[in-house]
Amino acid sequence: MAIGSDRVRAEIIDIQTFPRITRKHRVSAIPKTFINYDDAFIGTEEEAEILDRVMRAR
Amino acid sequence: MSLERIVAGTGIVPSLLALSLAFAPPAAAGEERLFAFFHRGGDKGERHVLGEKELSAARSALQDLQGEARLVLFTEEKDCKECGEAEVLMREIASCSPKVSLEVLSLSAENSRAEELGVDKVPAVALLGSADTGIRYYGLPLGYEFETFVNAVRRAAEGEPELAPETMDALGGLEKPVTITVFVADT
Repeated sequence: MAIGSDRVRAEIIDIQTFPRITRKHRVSAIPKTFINYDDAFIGTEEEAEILDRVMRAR
Repeated sequence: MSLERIVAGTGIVPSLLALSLAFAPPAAAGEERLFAFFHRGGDKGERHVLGEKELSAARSALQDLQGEARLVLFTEEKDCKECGEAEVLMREIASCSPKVSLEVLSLSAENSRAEELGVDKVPAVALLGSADTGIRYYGLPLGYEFETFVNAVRRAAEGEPELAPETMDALGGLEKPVTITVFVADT
C-alpha cells in the first residue's frame, strides 16, 4: 500500500533492535500492526480489511 | 490470502536477526550463537551476512528489473551494535542487481536527509524506487524477513504494488497521510 499511494508510509520495526519503542507501544505479541498508532491488530489481516482500516484511519 | 501476499500487498516487511558485530566487545553468552552467522569469508577476508543460498535467492528475485531501486541506509558509528551488519547486508543485497544501488549515510551527519526521509533511529533503511516508496525498515531484514524485504526491493524498482485493482482505486481517494507500523521479530 505504501508503494501504491504516496500518502501511505510503512514502517517495519524489529522488536529486538528497538526494545524501548516496543515497550512504549505495549507490543506483547508479534506481528503487531498499528495504523497511525491509533487502530491496531495482531497477526495478519486480509488486504480488504487492512484497506478498510487505512481508509478509516484518524 | 497468505501472509506473504498480505505482506507483499501492503509493502510491509516483517523482521530479523540481532547479530553481534564482528568487532564488538566479547559477546555475551546469548550472542555467541548468533555470532556464527556473521563470519569472515573469501580470500579477501570480507565480512558476510548472507549465505550463498540467500544470495542466490536474492539474485533470482532481483533479476531483469525494469526500473531502479535505491537503498538508503542510515547508521551511526557509536551506540549502534547492528549498524555494521546492516551495512554489510545492504551491500550484499545491492550486489545482487546492477539496478539496485546503496547509499550509506550517517544519521547525525546527514540529519537533513534523515528528516526528509522521516528517519530517526538506526539502523534504518529507506526504500526508494523512481519515487519514495514510503517503506522504512528499522533493524536487520534477515531470516523470515529477508525474502519479503528483497521482494519489496523488487516492487520498488518496478513501481508496481501487488494490490487488487479495487485497493488501488480506494487508495486513490485517501486524503490523510497514514503510517502503517508493523512490529516484527526474527524468531
